[in-house]
Formats: sequence, C-alpha cells, structure tokens
Amino acid sequence: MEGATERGYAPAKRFDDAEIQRALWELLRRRAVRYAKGESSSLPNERVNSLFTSLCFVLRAASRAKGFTPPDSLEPDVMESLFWQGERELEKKVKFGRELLRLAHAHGQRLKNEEYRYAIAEVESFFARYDILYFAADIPCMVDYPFSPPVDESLSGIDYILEYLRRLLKEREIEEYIPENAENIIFSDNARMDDEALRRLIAELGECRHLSDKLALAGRALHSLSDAFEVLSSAFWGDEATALLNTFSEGELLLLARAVKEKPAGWHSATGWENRLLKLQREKRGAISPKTPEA
Amino acid sequence: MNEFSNSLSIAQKKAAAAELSRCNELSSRFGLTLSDEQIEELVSARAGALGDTGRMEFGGGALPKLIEAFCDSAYITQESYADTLLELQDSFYYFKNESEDSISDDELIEYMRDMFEGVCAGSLEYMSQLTLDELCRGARGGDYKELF
Repeated sequence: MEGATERGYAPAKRFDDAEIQRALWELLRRRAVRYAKGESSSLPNERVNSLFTSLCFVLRAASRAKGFTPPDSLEPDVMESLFWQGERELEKKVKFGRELLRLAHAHGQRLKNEEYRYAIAEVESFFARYDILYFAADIPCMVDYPFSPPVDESLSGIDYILEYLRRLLKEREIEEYIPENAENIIFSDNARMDDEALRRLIAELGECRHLSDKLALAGRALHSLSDAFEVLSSAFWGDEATALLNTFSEGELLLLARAVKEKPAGWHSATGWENRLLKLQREKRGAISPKTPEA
Repeated sequence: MNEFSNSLSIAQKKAAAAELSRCNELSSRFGLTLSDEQIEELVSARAGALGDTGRMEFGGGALPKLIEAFCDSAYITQESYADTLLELQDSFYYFKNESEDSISDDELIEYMRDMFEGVCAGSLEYMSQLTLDELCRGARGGDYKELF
C-alpha cells in the first residue's frame, strides 16, 4: 500500500500509515472481490495493481471534491462512501468530456485533416471502453496526437482525456483564426510562376550543392503559396524542408497548413514536408494553458 | 508488484489454518485428514504458489475447494493426501494463470477433478504435463485418445 501517495492519493494526516494501509487494503479487497464477481478468489498481480491505481485515483477525486478535508474515520463503510463519492465526481468529468468530444467532433466534420479526425475517433473509443468502476486511471485508447509540449504524462484516466480534448479544441481555435484574404497579405505579391518557370526552378534547386544556396534561391523565387507548396513537394527533403519552412513567417506556415488540410483525405507529398510543418507549428506554438485545470 | 506482499499475515494464516482444520471433518469420512504440521505446510505453500504464479488472493484460497472436490477420490490415500494437495494447489494457480482468468475457480477445479479421475488415473505427473486446452477439452468430454 506504500504506492498510494505515488498514485495521487494522500489520505488525511490525522491517521497513521498502518491505519491507512489497513483501510486501503480492505477497500481494495472489496473491489477485487466485486471485480471477480465471486468466480475467482485470486487475481494476477498486474490486475490488482491496476485496481489499486484506480482506487487511489477515485479516492483522490473524492478528496479533492471535499477540499482535501480528512474523512471522519477510516472505517470500511466510510471509505466505501468516499469511494462512491469519487465515482460520482468522475462521472461528472466523463459527462463534461463527452461534451468536449461533441465539440471536437463538430470541428472534425468540417476538416480534411485525417490526423485530427483519427485523434477524435480514438477519444470516442476511450468513452466506449472507459471502465470507471475498476480501471478509472487507465486510458483505453491511442493518444498519439503530437502536441508540443505533450500532455502531462502524470495525468490519468479521464483527467488525461479532458486535457487532451482541450488541447485538440485549442489547436483548432488557433488554426481557424486565419483571415480570408490572408494569402494576398502574407505572400508579397502572390504571383504564381508559369509551369515552365516552376520546372526550371525545381531543377535548379535540385542542382544546388549547399543548403544555404538552395534556401537563398527559394527565398528569391517564391512569391506565392502554390509555388511554395510545389517546391516543398518536389525539391526539399527531410531536414531541408524544415530549414525552408523555418524561413517562412507564422502566417505563411498557417496558410501552408490550411492548404494541406484542403487536400483530399490521405494525401501525402513525396517529400513528406507536411509532417515537418505540423511538427514545426507545434513547436512554435509552445505551451497552451488549459482553461479549467481540474486534474 | 512491490506494493503488495504475497506473504500472508499472521491473522490470515490462522484463518486459513482454521478453515483447513474444519475441512478434516469432511475428508475424514473418506479416511483422509491433515495434521497440524501438514496444515501449516499447506498454508505456507499457498503463499509460495501465489508468489510463483504472480497472483494475489482475496478470499480463503483454493485449498478448501480442492479438498472438497478431491477427498472422495479412490486415487488418494492418507499417505499421499498432503502431498497431493500441495501439487493440486500448484496446478490450480498455474492453470488459473494459463486461462487468463477466463475460467472460474469452480469450473477449473471441476476440470481438474474430471481429468484426475479420468485419463490421468490419479497421476499428478500426468496432470502436470497437460496444457490448459487439453485439460478443458478433456474434461468437457473430448476424445482423450486424440489428446494423448
């Protein structure tokens, strides 16, 4: 039971460690018996460990709701009651999470960004699989949308997903603030090259020995979003793409990102620059503070 | 799992020993009893078996149920009784893990009993060589010859 504090549940200081351990053990025993539905008198250690982590997560939710005031006693019935209070607190969070998901889903419907949609689908599966009764600290879905910085790994269960959803929504808010005429404002004259000139430029870029020459040539020649898009898709590979993208302004990067999202689902460039762009944008964006840090 | 100990507390050991002692009432009808020393050994072995199989127990353990299921077996004598229980206990936790807990305690004991009385003819060595699949299929009335 020494792991309770590490799992986020630090019960009242008015009780000594032995009392707390006995109370937690009894509560865990009851949870394990219910989980096994009377069919098994033993469980694998890993399962017990997960049950205990969940138990501490639920108790922490209850404790927080009570302003971290200590319970009157550690008697089994009192602890059971505390546990169920924690469950109710988590149910409220789940309800709020479903509401955030609905908003994120509505955003996703309007987008062609497959990565975003995939992230939303995964969060949907979280709500389908989330076992609030026994494994409330688990995150039963893939959460690999690349935020920068990443979602705090110390968060668990629904707390993690709420933060994940807030980040997804926040990201969309930022990207949707691109004004309609941004393309003309951001690119100096937005004059596209004709096809022949563009082919020559791509060939010349391919012949550059040094990256600095390549970047300088691109900087001189590119004046439109569509040309930048073509050149990135044909002449800048790997770190070269990142280097070129780094010469663009935040607004230019946003326009490029929007252009990528307008491509059909599943589109990928030959050079893969769009992945570099995504990473770069997140790095530039930096930390985003959640609105209601309940975790 | 460092937070929990597989070793039983003194109170748990006493409770387990008392429960095994009570089982003597049933098994003695078939000429089988456990001495206090044997009971103590079985209780200690239970913690060992749980540790070896990476499991934790929340109830009274499997031994009382194993005694109830096996005490009328013609293959068990007073001389072999305690050792048989030790091996049955080990097998029980082994198969429990193998089944990934998809089989209840009662079902598993029933399968073990069916095979022990059937194709194993009381041979624990034979039973220890069975896979879970063989145990379950055999006990459900499958063709033993096909299995062995």
